[in-house]
Amino acid sequence: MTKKSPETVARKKRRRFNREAIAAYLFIAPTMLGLFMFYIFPAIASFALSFTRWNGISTPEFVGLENLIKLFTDSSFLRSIINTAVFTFVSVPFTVIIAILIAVMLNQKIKGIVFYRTLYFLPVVTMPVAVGMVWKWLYNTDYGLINYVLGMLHLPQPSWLFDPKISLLSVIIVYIWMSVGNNIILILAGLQGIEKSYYEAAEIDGASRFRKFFSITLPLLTPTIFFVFITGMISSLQVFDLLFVMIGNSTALLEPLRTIVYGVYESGFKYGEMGIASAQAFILFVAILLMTIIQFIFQKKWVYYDS
Amino acid sequence: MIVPFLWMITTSLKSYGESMQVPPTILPKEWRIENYSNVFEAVDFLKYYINTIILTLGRTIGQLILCSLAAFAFARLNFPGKNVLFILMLSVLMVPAQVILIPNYATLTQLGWIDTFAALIVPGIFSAYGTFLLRQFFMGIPKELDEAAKIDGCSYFGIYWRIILPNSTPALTALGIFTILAAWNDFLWPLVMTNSESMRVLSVGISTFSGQYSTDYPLLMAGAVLSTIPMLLMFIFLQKHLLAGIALGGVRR
Amino acid sequence: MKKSVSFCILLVISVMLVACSGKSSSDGKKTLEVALWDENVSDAVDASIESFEKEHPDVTVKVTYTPFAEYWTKLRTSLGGGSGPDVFWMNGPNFYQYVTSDLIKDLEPFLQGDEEFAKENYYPAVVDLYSYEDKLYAAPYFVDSVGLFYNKKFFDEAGLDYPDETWTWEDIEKVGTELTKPEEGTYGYLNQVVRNQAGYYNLIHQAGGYVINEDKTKSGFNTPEAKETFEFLNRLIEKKISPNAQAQIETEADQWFMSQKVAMIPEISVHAAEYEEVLGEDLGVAPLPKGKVDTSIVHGIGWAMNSKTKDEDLAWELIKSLSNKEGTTVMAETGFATPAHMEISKVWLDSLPNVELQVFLDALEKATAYPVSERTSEWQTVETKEIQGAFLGQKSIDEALEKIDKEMNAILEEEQKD
Repeated sequence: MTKKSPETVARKKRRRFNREAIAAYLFIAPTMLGLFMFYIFPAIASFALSFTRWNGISTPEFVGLENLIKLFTDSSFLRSIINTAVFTFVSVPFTVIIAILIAVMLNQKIKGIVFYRTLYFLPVVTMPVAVGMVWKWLYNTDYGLINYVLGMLHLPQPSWLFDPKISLLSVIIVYIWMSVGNNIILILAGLQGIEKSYYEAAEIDGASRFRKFFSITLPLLTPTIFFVFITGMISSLQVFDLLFVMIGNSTALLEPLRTIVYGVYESGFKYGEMGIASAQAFILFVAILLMTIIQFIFQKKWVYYDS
Repeated sequence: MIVPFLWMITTSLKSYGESMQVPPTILPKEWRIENYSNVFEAVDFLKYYINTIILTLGRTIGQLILCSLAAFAFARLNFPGKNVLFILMLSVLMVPAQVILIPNYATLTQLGWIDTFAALIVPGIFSAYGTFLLRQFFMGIPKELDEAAKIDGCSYFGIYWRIILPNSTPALTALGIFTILAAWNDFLWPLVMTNSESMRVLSVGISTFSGQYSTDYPLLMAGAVLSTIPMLLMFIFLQKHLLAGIALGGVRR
Repeated sequence: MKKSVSFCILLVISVMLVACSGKSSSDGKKTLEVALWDENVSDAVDASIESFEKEHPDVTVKVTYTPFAEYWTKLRTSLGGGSGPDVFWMNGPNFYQYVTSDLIKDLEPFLQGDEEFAKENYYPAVVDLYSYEDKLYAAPYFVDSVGLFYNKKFFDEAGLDYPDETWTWEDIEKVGTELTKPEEGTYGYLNQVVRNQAGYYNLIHQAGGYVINEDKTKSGFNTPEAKETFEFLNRLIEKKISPNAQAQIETEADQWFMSQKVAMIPEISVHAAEYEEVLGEDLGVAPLPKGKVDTSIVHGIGWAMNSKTKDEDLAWELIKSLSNKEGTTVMAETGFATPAHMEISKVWLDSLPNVELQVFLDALEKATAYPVSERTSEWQTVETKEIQGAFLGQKSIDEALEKIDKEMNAILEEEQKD
């Protein structure tokens, strides 16, 4: 390449920057416009409703901070915050760690591995209704399979869904069972991005399987782990469907299992109080946003993008 | 792992009376294979299949295209407002679906899309999750490849098309699998945005077996099994692409 | 660069093509939309619509069935989004809310002077249920009442007489004890402590009490009659005549009865068909045993009209077609449910000839309407939470009743302010 004068290079750089920006905007335009129209704009409208009383049909009535005050003095809502937090802080780490271990094992090209991979994928494909039904039966205090087996081993047989101390844990177990498969797929995909040459070099140096895992696999997997962690956190903070299926018509079971999104559903669609429903969703949104931003700031410390 | 799925199958083969027994029986006393044909008689199940396939294909293809384009920009290009737009996009994930249901219904009514495929497919081709997922993977692809292409005079689109996409088979497959699954099983959105039976999808169709006072469990499970098998086949077929290596054709460190 | 621009344009165009192709073509006909939740009634509804469309050839009627669990979500969303069905099913607990929010139309103006439709033809309790300030807001369609289902096998084996119209609460206890066999895991009677329509609402009224007073200003849960009711229910559980609350939550009442683990069960009429399918000749039904007062709860479904419907006269004609004699006869013949039309309800008796369905019609004469108010959902949540809590051993029954009374009254007070 012929040498260019500093001014030419600088001019080219500025122009290239503009060209780059325009191209970038074009690339993201369809998605951003679509997201704005169907997700962001409705969300903003909804959050504005947090400051009103609205039954979904007549004109909303502005009430200022009344909804927020009502919520923060409501024991049910505060309980839902605690439940949601516990749910997330327990399920996410487990889901991620278990998924990593299993994905690494499933990453081999041995015979019959397809069968095992499909096996772990089964919970992901099973309909939530069926999942709820089956686990309710498994957890049944008198007839359930789990207690039957425990009984045979002469171990205590708890009331999995009834005992307020452990019912949340019982549902968390089902959630982890359901979600692990998703993460396994993502991590499997992520494992493929790690250049084989790294492993070859390590082999030459005589590294053990253990060493290879911790020094090569794990660090280079961190972008994927980061993704799995963030999306896992965001979804488990919004858990609702599973609870809906497992609680059934029993209000007595509800309190120890109530999450924030359940509250949104109840206020909005059962009681017709859209303002309060939006307020709860808004509070949740702010919490998730803050947590996510913090995660993104921290990623510089542990996520390693290969370049 | 497999117990719930087996339970679905055994329940689908029982008679209604037997499915209600406590303690529950494990294997059906009488095998009612006709439950499966009953599903097709009770409702227009074939139509539901077709509708669901159209919905799924539409959304998946749309997402793979749109999300990869946007993800490329976020991963590889620099532009003003990049971080703000990225966070804005991510924030979409933080809003529960129930909250945007009514505003979207109003929008779709204005557009005249209620009860059409447009309502089912179009909003579903825009995905913050998909964009985020691909962005992470794209960021893991060595930048040297981009540089090499640029030196050869490649446009941005060229880099996208010739370098990034071919090296992202695992990520695109993963996104494909998830989008197919999510679209296939989507319940709340099709439930609210369509009315006619001719527009119904599988998830909604199956839920009609759940009545107000009682649920026809065997039929419900038969429908669920019929709905799940295509997904399993899809996974078995696609999973090897998850493991495709980086195809570089000649570039080595 | 050029490539990406053209690509994007192509994309936008294809999206628009998909959108436009999806639009349904209008052929100049008017459309009315109907929404409900139980597909089992489709024969009856289709028959009514057929005759309506014959009389009004310029109108098409579209019917949408939504599973009950999601029906209200979808209804609210569509009404909130500015459109929604023209004619739709309404039930007791939601009725007041929809009336006071101006979501459904007052039907009185349509009834006046309309010779085809007369309130007197329908069971008073249901007309009551769907009237607000003496004006009808939903046309009664079908009713359900409560009866005592029993499994004849249990009685035959024990050599006891079947339940009849003389039975009282004492008989439940006495005979229930004799039919309970702990060693076989069977019970004499399932007390429905976690259900209100089939369970304790009946008993409270039978004891002479009330769930909500006439003015809808006070709760009846902390009265001596209510206490008596729950003590009775508790006794049945303590004496092991009935499965306890936890067992009833984990396993549905239907399952208990259809697995032949329970001899007697109070339940609503809609279950008759499925019970008969499983128990066959062993199924019997008797009037609900009485307390001080001989009454039981009645509930039913009505057809309501969207207050924003584009053509109210046409919608009214449709409602009439759906709930008139011809329409409900089909419903009665299929055995789906008891028509609210008194004359046609007798046709329903023939749908299950081996079962004494007359019991349910008799009950309608002495029935009390299912108790509701504007915020039924809210206080019912408190009600079920406290009662279930008490019966799961978390608190005493008195505590639970006091709490319900307090919170329900607070909610009712809020209603008065609206």
